Amino acid sequence: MKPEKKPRADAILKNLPEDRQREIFTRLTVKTPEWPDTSFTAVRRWLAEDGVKTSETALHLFYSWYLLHAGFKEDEETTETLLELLKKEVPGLTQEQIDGYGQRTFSLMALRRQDQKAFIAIRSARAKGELERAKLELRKQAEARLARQAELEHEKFQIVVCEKFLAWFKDQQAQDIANSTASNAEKIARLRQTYFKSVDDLEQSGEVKLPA
Amino acid sequence: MKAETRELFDLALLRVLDANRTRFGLGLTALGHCLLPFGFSPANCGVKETFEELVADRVEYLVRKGMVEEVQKTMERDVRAWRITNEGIRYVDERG
Repeated sequence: MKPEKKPRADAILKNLPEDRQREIFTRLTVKTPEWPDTSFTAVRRWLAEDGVKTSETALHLFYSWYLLHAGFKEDEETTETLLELLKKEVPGLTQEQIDGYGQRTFSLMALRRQDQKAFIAIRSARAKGELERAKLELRKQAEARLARQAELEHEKFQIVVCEKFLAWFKDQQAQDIANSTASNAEKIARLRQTYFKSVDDLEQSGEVKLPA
Repeated sequence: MKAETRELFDLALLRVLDANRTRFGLGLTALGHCLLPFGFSPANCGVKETFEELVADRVEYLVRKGMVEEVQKTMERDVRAWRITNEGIRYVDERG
């Protein structure tokens, strides 16, 4: 039977709890009066005293890994914050759109690794631009919907009026009102009184279907 | 690119992906950029295709090997992103 493979030294470090990893990275990077030696040798010795056996090569690899890892975690937090803001500003976005913006933002932030100032400028401009574009798109969609709605209402109104005219044209009562000697205003008032008595009457007559 | 260099390139790609344990993947441009600390850049790769094409080619290879997977299938080219699989993590851990 093959002996079980020991996990690699750097895998041990990568699988330590987050705060422990942070502590190791701090020891490798921050000199203090209590900890003046940040060399890989010193940190390896410190870890060994704490029961964690590793090599200097593994520590080198861990250092590179942690640098990237911490950066990506920070980028993820920033991205999630931006997405929350975006969702509040533009509530109509689908989950797919939000995930897409999130992915773009996260990938973009990975590019800023070497230049903090440029990243901040790029991130702000990009996020703002994306937000404005999304808002404009939604505004356009809403306007198009309203315009179509108005168009349909107008069409419906015209049809109803024409239908009414045809019905009234045949109606004796309507002809009497139209042919009378009363003024135009009076004729309109009489027509309205005759054919639009009350909303309930109108609805019960079945002549007109009132909107809900 | 020599086979040995290609292997190191693939390992560097996996290391970068291994460091990203977030819910987002990494796009090709971001991946290429993060290879710099590992000694790989457009200037020193000495390949005929563009650096991004090289990264794309190797990522596809690693996907075929089951070590990398695409985060979300999408038609939009600039949203495509990848992350490491458990198989990929195992590969990195075994090679250091």
